Amino acid sequence: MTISKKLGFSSIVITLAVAIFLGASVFLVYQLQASQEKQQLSQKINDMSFQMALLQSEYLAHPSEQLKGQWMDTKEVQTRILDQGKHLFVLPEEKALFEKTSAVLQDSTVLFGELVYNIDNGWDQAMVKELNDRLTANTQTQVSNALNLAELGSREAADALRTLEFVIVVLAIIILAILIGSYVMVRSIIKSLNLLGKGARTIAEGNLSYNLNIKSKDEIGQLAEAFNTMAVKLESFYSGLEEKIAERTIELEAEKAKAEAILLSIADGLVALDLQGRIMLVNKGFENMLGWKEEEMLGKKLVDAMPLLNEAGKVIPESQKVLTKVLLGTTAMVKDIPNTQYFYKKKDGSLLLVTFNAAPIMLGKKIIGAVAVFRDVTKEKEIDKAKTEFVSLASHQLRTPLSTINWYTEMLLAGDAGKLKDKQKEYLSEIYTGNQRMVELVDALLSVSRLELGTFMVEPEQTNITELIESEINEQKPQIEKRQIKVSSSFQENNFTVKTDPKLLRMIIQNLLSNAVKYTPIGGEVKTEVTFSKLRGNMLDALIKISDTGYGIPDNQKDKIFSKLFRADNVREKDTEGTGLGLYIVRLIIEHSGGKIWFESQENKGTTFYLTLPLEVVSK
Amino acid sequence: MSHTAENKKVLIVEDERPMREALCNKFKQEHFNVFEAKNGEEGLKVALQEHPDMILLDIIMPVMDGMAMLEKLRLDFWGKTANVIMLTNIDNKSNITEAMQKGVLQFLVKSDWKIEEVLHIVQEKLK
Repeated sequence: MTISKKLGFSSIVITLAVAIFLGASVFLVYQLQASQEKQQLSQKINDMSFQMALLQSEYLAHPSEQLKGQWMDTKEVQTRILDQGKHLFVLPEEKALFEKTSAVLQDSTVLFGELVYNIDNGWDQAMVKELNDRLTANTQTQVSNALNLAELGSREAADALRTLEFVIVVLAIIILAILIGSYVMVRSIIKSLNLLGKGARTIAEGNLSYNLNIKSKDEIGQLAEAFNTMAVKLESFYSGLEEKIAERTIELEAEKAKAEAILLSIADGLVALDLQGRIMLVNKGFENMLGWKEEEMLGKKLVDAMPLLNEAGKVIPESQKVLTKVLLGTTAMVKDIPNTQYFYKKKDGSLLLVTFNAAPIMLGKKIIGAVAVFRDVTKEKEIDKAKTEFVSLASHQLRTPLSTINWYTEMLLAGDAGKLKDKQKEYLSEIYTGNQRMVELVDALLSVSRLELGTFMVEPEQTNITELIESEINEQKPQIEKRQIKVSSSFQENNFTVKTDPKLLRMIIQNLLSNAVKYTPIGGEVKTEVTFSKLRGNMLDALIKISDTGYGIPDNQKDKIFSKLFRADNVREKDTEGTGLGLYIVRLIIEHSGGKIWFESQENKGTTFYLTLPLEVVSK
Repeated sequence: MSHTAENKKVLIVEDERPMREALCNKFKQEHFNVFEAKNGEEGLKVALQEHPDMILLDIIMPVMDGMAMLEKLRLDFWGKTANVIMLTNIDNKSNITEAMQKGVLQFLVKSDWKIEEVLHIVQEKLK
């Protein structure tokens, strides 16, 4: 039976019991009341019977109307009482007795009437005595009746009380039974709930094959059954899920393996780092180039396990800062720090020259690590070195015979081998001039080679721009004086200490100045002007103007003026010397330094060259 | 050891005969006591023997080049402070740096300088 049914049943039982109890109580109260009334009535009858007897004997002694009246009154009262109490006596036994009582009273009334008549009319002694005896007997009977009635009444009350006691006991037993039953039921429910709780926890811990052993047919039993069904369903669901996961994992593993294979096959060295800079992965290239196996590297911080070193094998601290910046996301990508050679230490202790790149690994918008790629550039550096050496050597080979010619010509012209005739001097001068051009050409070609090969490095150092330009102007003094050129210069006041590469700046200024002087007719003017303007951060922009009142550049040749080995027609005619490389070199240097160069020119009026050069401010 | 300028010793280490002769003649003209060598090995020997007041040193030379000779020279007690001027036609950066590190007085590219100028420089340095 289900719990609800049990509960319902119990409620009904209790309700009934209470109803019965109430009913019984009401009944008892009623009974008691009735019994009490009966007893009162009986008592009254008893009393009145005695009173009538008394009156009767008094009348016999002294007959009077008054006494007769009192007897009749009393009888009336008794009659009334009996009438009124008729409804109280319903049981047959009671009723019979009651009837008898009424009958006796009737009889007594008749007898008394006869007695009175007799007494009033002669007084037959024998009749009076008989009547008196009969009345007395009636009285006794009546008293006895009254007593019986009373007794009957009290017996009924006792019966009712016992009935009530019985009902109460039964009720108490029923209630106790129900209480015990409830207690037992609640205990069993709690036990089942505990089992359910334990079962739920077991399943939550992963043991899906747990089965609740609750077999009752009530709600708890249904719950347990539902629970077991759920466990079974969960188990099959999870095993199904596990299968799906296994399948998917195999797919993903395959994809991952492919991606890894691609990654690991990159010929360059690759190392992936987590956000703390620890090595998550290295590829075959890394292992091959450096001799370390992946297992030996995993988990270690890159800057500890494989720091970038300089030629002396000392750690380059900037490279570590750079990696930190990449991981923090403050730098998008990092290339080599200029003028620094990077080495990694191989497992065998030797150094490997590398070029190094680091970039953050982005997952959506978040940085989850960094990946660094490096390449063995030993060959490249060797090739570069070979190129540089070749150029140097080639220029050396070219210069050697040139200097021989120079010096011997100089010595001849100086008269070391004897006095010369004028014509001889003249011819020797031509040889010397021609040779000088060759020397200039070789020097220019050497510069061009170096610039084009990119094998020269920009080396900024603290430079005084004003001093540098003025010294270059000074270098041109011989030419300036020869051509009687008026030279002026203006430099903007500044309190800055700037850094730039002086040798490159010299090349620029020297070329432009010598051009200005060279290509200006006698008595012309050359002006130099330097101004500064702020760029961003600690960078300053220098604007250098070099203007002359010279031959100018023909309009139709302006676009060629910066090209290699180009000389404009108008200066060729004017018998000036030039390699055609000067402006080309200047352009290369300026472009490499991040500056700009342009010019304004009018044929036979003059030319002004403008150039901008970014400078680093060291201090104010 | 005080000599007059005219009796100063100068050592010319140069493998190119014409250049070597030109220099020797020029310095002899100015009454220098001139010594010559045609490679680094010879140059080192003569230097350590004669202790010249000035050494004009070329770089590209057979047998032993100028840089090697310079290094060996600096190992010698006298050679440590010997006056050396590089006189060469090769001018790549590493050579210049290395030479300056080894304490040469000046690095001259031959084709940039007149022979008279070379003479004057030596005379200046010996003052």
